[in-house]
Amino acid sequence: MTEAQDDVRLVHVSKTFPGTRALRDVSFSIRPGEIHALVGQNGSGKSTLIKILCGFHEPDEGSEVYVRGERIEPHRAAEAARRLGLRFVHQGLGLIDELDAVDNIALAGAYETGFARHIEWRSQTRRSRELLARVGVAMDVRCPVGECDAVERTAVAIARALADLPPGQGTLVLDEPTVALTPGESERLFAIIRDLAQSGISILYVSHYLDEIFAIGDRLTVLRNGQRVATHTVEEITKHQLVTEMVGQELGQSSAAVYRGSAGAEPILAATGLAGRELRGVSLELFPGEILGIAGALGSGRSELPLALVGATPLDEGAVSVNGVAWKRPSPHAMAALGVALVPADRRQKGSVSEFSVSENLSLGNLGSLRRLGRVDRGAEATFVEGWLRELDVRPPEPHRSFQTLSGGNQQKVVLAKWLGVDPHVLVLDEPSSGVDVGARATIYEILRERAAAGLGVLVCSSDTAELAELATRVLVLRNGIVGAELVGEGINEAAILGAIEGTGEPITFAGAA
Amino acid sequence: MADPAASRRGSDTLLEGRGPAPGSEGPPESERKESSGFLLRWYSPTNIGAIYVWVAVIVLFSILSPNGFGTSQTALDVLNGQAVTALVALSLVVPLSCAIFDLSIGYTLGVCSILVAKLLAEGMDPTLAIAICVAVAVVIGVVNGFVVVVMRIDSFIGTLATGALLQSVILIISDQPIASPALLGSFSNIAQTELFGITLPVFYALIALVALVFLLEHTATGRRIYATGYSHETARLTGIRTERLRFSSLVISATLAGIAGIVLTARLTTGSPTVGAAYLLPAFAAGFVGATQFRNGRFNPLGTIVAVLLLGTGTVGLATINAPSWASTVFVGVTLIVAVGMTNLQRRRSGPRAS
Repeated sequence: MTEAQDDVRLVHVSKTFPGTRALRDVSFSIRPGEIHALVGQNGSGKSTLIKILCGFHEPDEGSEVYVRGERIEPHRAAEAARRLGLRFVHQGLGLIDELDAVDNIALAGAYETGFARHIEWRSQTRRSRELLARVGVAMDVRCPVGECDAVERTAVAIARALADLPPGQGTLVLDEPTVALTPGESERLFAIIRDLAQSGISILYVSHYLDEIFAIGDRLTVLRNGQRVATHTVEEITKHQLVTEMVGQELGQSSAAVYRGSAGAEPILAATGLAGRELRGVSLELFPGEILGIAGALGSGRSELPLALVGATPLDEGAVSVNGVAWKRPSPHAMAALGVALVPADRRQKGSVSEFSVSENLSLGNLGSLRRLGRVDRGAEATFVEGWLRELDVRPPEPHRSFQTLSGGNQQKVVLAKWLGVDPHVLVLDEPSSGVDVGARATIYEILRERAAAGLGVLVCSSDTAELAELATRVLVLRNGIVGAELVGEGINEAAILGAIEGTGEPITFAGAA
Repeated sequence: MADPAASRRGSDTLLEGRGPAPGSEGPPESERKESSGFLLRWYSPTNIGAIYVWVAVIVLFSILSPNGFGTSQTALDVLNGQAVTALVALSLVVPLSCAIFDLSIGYTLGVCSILVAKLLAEGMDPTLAIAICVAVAVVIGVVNGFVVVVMRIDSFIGTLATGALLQSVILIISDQPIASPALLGSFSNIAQTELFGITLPVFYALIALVALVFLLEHTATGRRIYATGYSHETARLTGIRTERLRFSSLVISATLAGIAGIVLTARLTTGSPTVGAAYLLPAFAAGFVGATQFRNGRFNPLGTIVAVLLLGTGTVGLATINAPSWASTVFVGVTLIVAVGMTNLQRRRSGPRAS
């Protein structure tokens, strides 16, 4: 059945979760010594595919996975994949920062021990150096890895993964290895990866960054909505074509609404030169009545910006202005008082109190106005809460139900209602539809459009380009902590946003509109 | 018991209707028609288990010692004897609700207890002495707040450290018990005056109970305190000034513990440098057992008081049947483990939970 020359071969691999098919009939193969890139948007099935390879998910009946010619039995996939030389370096690397390279490498396999099981530190250290040399890195193996630079850390993770394999053999799966790296560091990592491939190790390289794939890949496979769109050699495809294949939409098609804000209006919220952990000088203006989308890759500052705008993370530089008044050190309390609200991405930890009832969660931001004679007026609270549960169609509409028993979508509606209930001027939403079902998503979009039309300034940060294309009237794209592109009107479509996220060139021209 | 989610809902609603604070309203119209189910659930052992155990303990000791225990005098002994413990336990409810451990309260109590005796023994006017001691308690609370909230030291560690410092303060004030005629008379009246056989400290505890129920269950501040304790980040992002609440909670606990110390000295008419630490265990035990009552895991004043009475009854009962001296702490430890263990079991049955 299988061709002997392939290191890994997937044949008709599918994976069905209750309610969704994450993968549909995906077939492709990885050749020895090849760097094979796997590309696709969020939700395209990349992670599911990796989890099938490492044995975390069991694929559907009829799926076949071969490693070095041997069929992997689904129920013992993890063990078989390991035996056949399939190795993984996951996104977080999984290192223990406080320990040095020797310990990190040894903990995954075993220490070399002598009499009474004492650790032979000298030979253990020598072995770690050898393994790292094989990866092409000479570093202080006695330094806690938390103090090493990002490339060295990645190298330790790779060395650990390959530790028990003979040199030049095996298949390495790298999941987004450059997320935490600067461009210079990425170059160093690419050199390491190229050398590994040269030595005969095949590599499955998963990344959001298209430029990287063109820089390092031999072949690439595009996934979209769980299906394989195509496999190409890197030489035969342009970036433009690749984006089209990822999005499944011709460039220039637009589904975006048009900003109906009044001309010459004053911005309701403005940021000037925000700098922090990832942000390196973001300036933007939000006008009443618009839905401003914020796009950007991981590490671009997209996930920090919403927190910075409401003062939840400290700013190194810059200021947030509300109605023209600048705040150098905004606090969530001050911002909430000014009517700037945040629906955070981490609903469980930051958006809600899971031990509270629905009612307590919903009224938490508005207790001040529900008071009578110093007490929270239970009648007023019930009216307030029931009104919002109806307005946003929260199901079941039971105020005293425990919040955590609601579905993700209904939880998000309650968090949204908490803020709409205080009648804010600006609503910042971070990943508003993560873990939210389609129906709830539609309700949330509808209410956001409605409120924006009534003059609310809405700012939506999202990793979902389809969401931004559908919702936003204007999109700012963050790259490396600054605003790299602005898309308006006809220019807003998935392909254009994605191109601008990935691109380093001229995204606005690329999008075909300005 | 059929639907755990509904039972939780039921207990919430019913408590809102039956809360002991002034002016509480009945359950909302829409809930009232199901009220027979709520009554059943409110009386369920998972909601008020401690009350059943309490009744069982009373019955048990009344049978074991019909003449020694089953008398109204015993009831008064329990009430009067537990008033100071009740004040200390109540002092913990607010910080615990903020997810803060105040391990220094025993020593705060000790400082105020010995200080008021010292000041009186040196001839100070009782009113002034009491005022000074309350002020000292407030200052201790501010120091705790500074260490825990401003310096961001984990409360468990921070108050353990301030507690050790306070122990030194106690010994600096006096390393011997202070007994003086100045402690008798008008000062001792604040603890020993009786109304219908009930001494005044019981009423102080009652006032603290009502005040805390009002604060925690009826005001916006109370709701914000619980939100801060359960999810600090959510509360902060909601615009709640969480640090201010956390700071205040430590001032509240120190003040109440300080008052308890003054009352204790008046009750014993002696200031002792060693009394404080003994209150730490029963107070925390009552706080944790109390959290398993009425509010499904939430620290609450009423549950805390029920737990104090349960633990106090057990202790007095064991004394009346001449149980060995180690028995009462066995009773406290077992009650704590059983109460919290039962609650965890019930929660596991009612579906997945955070942490």
